[in-house]
Amino acid sequence: MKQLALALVALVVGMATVPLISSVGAADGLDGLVTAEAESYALRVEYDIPLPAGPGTIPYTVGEIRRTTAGENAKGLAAAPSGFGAVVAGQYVNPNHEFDDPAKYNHLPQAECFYPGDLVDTHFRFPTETRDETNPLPPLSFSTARCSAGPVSDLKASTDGFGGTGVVARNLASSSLMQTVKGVDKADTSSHASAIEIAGGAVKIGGVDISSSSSVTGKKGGAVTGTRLTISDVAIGPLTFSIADDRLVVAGQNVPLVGDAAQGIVDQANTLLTGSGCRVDVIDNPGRYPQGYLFARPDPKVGVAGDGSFAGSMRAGLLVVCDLPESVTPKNLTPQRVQVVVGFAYSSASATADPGGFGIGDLTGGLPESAPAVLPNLDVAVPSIGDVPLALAPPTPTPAKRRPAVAVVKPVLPIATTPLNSATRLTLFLACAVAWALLTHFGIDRLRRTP
Amino acid sequence: MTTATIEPRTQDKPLTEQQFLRSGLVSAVVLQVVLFLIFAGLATSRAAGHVLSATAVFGIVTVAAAGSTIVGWISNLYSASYAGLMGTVTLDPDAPVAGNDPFAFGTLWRTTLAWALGAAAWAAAGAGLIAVALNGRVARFPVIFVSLVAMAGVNVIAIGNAARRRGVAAATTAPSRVVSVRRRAWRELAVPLALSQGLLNGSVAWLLFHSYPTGDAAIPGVLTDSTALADALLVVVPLTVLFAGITRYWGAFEIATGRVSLDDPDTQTVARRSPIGVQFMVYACILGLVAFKIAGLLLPATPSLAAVMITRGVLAAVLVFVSVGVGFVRGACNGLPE
Repeated sequence: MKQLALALVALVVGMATVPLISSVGAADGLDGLVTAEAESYALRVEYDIPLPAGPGTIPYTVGEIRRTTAGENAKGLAAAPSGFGAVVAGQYVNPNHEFDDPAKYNHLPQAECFYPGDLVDTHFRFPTETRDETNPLPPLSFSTARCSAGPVSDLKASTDGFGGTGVVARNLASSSLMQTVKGVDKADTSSHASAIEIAGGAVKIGGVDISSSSSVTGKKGGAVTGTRLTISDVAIGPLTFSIADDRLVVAGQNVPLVGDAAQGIVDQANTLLTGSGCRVDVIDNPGRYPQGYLFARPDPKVGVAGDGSFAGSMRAGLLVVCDLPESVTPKNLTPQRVQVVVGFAYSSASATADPGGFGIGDLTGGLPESAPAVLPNLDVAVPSIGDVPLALAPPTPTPAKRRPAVAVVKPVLPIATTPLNSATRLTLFLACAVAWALLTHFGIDRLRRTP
Repeated sequence: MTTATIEPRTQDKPLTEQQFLRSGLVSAVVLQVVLFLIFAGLATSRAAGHVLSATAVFGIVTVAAAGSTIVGWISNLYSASYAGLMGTVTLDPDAPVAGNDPFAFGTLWRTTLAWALGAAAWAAAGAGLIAVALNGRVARFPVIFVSLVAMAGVNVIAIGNAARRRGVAAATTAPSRVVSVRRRAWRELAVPLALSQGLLNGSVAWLLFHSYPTGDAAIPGVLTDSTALADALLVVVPLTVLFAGITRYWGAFEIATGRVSLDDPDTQTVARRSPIGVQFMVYACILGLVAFKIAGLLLPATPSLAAVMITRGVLAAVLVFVSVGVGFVRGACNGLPE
């Protein structure tokens, strides 16, 4: 009885220890519904011809993680050189519907991931993996998307250069990371581009760096969010200015970005642009731009909740709208104008006790109505992305050039979550069942014969 | 087959063999549940998302079965023989006597390894069935705990019970040979146990840290030397107390049954009223903690997972080696209690 009593005491102590041990984890304190979202891009180019179409979002990362007590998932998309919109994507995959064989379709230059599922670690090299004929071509753009348990969504997209009608740029990159780490649910995203020229050089921008970061702990005061924006050397004729977060810098002086002084400088720039057909504005309402006009979604939620359950922020840089002159317009493309958003980033994180989903209380209310999305019959020629990056790309960039000069980081071991196919599953079951039965038989026999 | 001439000591109320085995069974069940609660807690506490893949569950269950069986077989064998010798359990004169001396070096480790491999294979087959059931889904704490209990705990308990039966039967078995205390303690017990515990603790290190990113210190949550060795106290104290504690009875049993002889009777003979105490465990713990500190200095700031596994495995092996060696010699020097 003494041994039993000691063992029971050990059991109680052990059971009391487990929650303490378990609390030293990646997501302690984050109960209920935990989500994080991130989205960013360096440039978004739309041609109004007259419906919005264009080369898309360059480069682009967008993703989300979500966890409840019922499970978790992570998803994400990384696209380089561009994330196409719905209209152009169809034309790109099967130009003018000329291919009947899907094997001849162009693969979209993007990597998607979803956890749990088969797409947990994907990548795409453009144009190498576009179709079989492009396999010998060296890669000019890379997209990687990795989703894993945690949940984690890790997205990266980069390209050496982009050249489209009215817009060229170099060294473009975008990355987003959503994860829960040591009790913090966080989303980070950033994008970068340099040497941007719009409308044949009417507007030149030295570079844009934009980032957004949000995190929550689910506890009071534990929500943090913020954005950073740098647009350097915006050159319009003789006028050059820069934007650094909430300040506009011109001739070594800085003024608040929102105010008469800054507006005066922007007006001055627009005066200089009069002959080019372009107009520049500082974006003060970025909510309308993530999805463009046609497929616009409601403004995402931003702000910080005092109880630590939500944090979100969004920022965009400049909006340049140009009526393109014929000199920079290809013969097969006659857009009325081009709209370019320079820099956009959004991140949010939330942790609420409400697990979400459909509950009994929802029975009293109807499901939200939604109209089916109808793609317009775009009977116009859209730009072929096939020649977009090639015009500006360096001859043969090597992947080694892209490596950052930091220590190589070994990623976390992925969790293999691919479901087994039926044959493998059956074979494994039979093999294990037979082995288990045989070992049980021999084991019991051996145990009976001991000593 | 000759039998030992040693007469078991009598006790006021000795247990029958069935009572003895039953009491041991209950204790073993409770202890296995506690052990695997902690093991499953450790496995999930630092894993990404507190979940493990089916492959990881397979590895954990297999290693747990093998590791537990190695310690379980030997300790149950010794404890049952010790109980028989002390008169805690009544020895049935008509019961079959153990054949070969189960404590002989070759027999002891061959049997232990055979049971460990068998347990690991049985657990692996069961874990394969769990992988089929998971079918790509991840496993959380309840699944891991149940898997450990069902696939590792059950066979460890069964094998432990068999070891106790064999131990009772072997209580009066004549020794096959006599070796010196030091040789028995350090070479025949401490080295094999240190090796097995080194491998086991290296595997546990993988279990604890496989979800950590390694490499660049700028990465949030990267595996650092301090993280890898932060639980030094939780490693040093249990290992020292467990192995130094149980081997004290091993040494006492073997000296009483004539399996070992004192190398230097003048210095190894201690007065019955002033036996060698447990103070050495404190010194061993302090040395263990110092060793962890030194290992922290030797490890790079952001070590690889392999380096952490090797470091923790070596530290555990050294600690077990010292604890088993000193614990056994202490037991042999002190002898059976009055």
